[in-house]
Amino acid sequence: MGRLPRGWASRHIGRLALTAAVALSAGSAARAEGDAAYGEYLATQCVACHPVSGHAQGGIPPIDGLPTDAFVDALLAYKNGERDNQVMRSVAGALGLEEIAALAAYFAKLSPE
Amino acid sequence: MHPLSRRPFSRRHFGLGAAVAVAGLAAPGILRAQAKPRVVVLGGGAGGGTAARQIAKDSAGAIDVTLIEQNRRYTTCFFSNLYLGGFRDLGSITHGYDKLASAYGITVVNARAAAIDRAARQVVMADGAKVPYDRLVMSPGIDLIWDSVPGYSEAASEVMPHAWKGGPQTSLLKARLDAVANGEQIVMVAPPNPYRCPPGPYERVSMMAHVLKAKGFKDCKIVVLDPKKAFSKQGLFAEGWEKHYPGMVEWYGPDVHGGIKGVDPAAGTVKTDFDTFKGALVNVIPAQRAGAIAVEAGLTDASGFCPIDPASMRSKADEAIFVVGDACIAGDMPKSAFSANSQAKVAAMQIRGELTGARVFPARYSNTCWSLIETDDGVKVGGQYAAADGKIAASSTFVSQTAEDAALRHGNYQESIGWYSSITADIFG
Repeated sequence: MGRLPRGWASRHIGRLALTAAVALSAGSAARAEGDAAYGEYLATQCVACHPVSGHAQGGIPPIDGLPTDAFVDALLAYKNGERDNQVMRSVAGALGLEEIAALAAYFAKLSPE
Repeated sequence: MHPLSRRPFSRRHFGLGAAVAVAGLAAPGILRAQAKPRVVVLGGGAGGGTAARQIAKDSAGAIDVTLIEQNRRYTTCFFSNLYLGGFRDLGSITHGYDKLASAYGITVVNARAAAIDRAARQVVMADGAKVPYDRLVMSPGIDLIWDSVPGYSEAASEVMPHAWKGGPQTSLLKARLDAVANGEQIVMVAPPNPYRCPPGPYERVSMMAHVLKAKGFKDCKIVVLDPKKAFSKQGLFAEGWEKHYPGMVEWYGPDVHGGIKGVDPAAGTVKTDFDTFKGALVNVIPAQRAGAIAVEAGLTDASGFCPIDPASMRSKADEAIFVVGDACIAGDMPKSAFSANSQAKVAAMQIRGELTGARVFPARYSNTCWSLIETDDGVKVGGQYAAADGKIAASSTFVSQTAEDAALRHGNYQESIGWYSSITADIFG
């Protein structure tokens, strides 16, 4: 997100436009090409629970190979409370848009077995 | 040139004394003279297995990784309550190290380490062999402080099992539980903080109650004598015990029992200020500290656990040593396999950065602890963590709520099964 305008008045005038811009950019920032190397590190925390495709047991789905849009949609839905798993809300809540983009870039590169 | 020689240790980062700084400056010369940097991992549980595998996997042969673990097979303490309850067999919670060796090229040494020679940067094995390291990951787990409960001892644990380390004690407790007859009483002495697996004793009580209930035993009691005034997920367990096992579980905190005075293994009794409790089975979970090898290496503080830098998991006592898992002081994180796995990944990243120049990112940690109260009635607690205010601090936490619907609780249990499968693959390959 860009820096706020310096003056109070311009900040005030610009508020509505800024709010709209943030709302629009939330999705697009997470959909921007992420840093897959950063995503690989972040993903080490995901794979403590999420199985590799073909090896799933119990109630946690594999996420390797998930297309970027589906991955970002899911994490944003947890982040904004539309999806209600407690663990994933906590996980997504701690991730910024840069982190979500990085994770999406990494997982999209993996091909399910 | 080795990356370490470009990035010598800095006292600005580590705040260590001049003597250590000199040792750090000497390290690049040693590293240049050898083929590969060497990482030794001590302890093959959740923290150690994860660290060894992560470093070997991500460095793709650039780092020589040795895992020292005295046992050839590892029975996880996590999920051992489900074995007690009859939901898992022992084989399904027991793992070997073959894959870490064959698939990741890790040198697995199944022998006992006796000491750490920090000055020489080597692990001294019980047989006198020396294993040198450039970086050491310590994941020794806990040791039990036997005399924290007067009358208790390692010998007494054959009569009053603790089962707070996976293995023969787990099987012993299961055998003793299965031998309890209708009308008999089980007594648990719960541990004081801090200890491995905060909800573990209370999930164990639930699984004991499940076994008794499933046999139709209506006249058994499980008495919990707790040195703590409150415990993890207390409201959830209290609700679950009342719902599934009405009248069977009695929990007494110090306000009621007045203090646990000691145990008499021969008589099968636990004495408190309030009364003496007799059990057909007495399960004593004593106070805990970091594994003895960490204590003897001077890595612990007065608490008995190892202070670490929350941004890297590096020991505050030695810049070449990282401590992960139950043995470390992890701030807001509980002592759990999930925490150990998470901490090991931070240490692994940091170590690869120092030894091979790999990218290092800000440390992030996660934990979730699932507990089973009765068939398909699972609850959970957890959070996300990062380095802040000089410790590993929670940035967000969650816990199951009372009166949740059956579908959610069933989903929690299913999650726990998925987690166990994934995390053990992440630890043992």
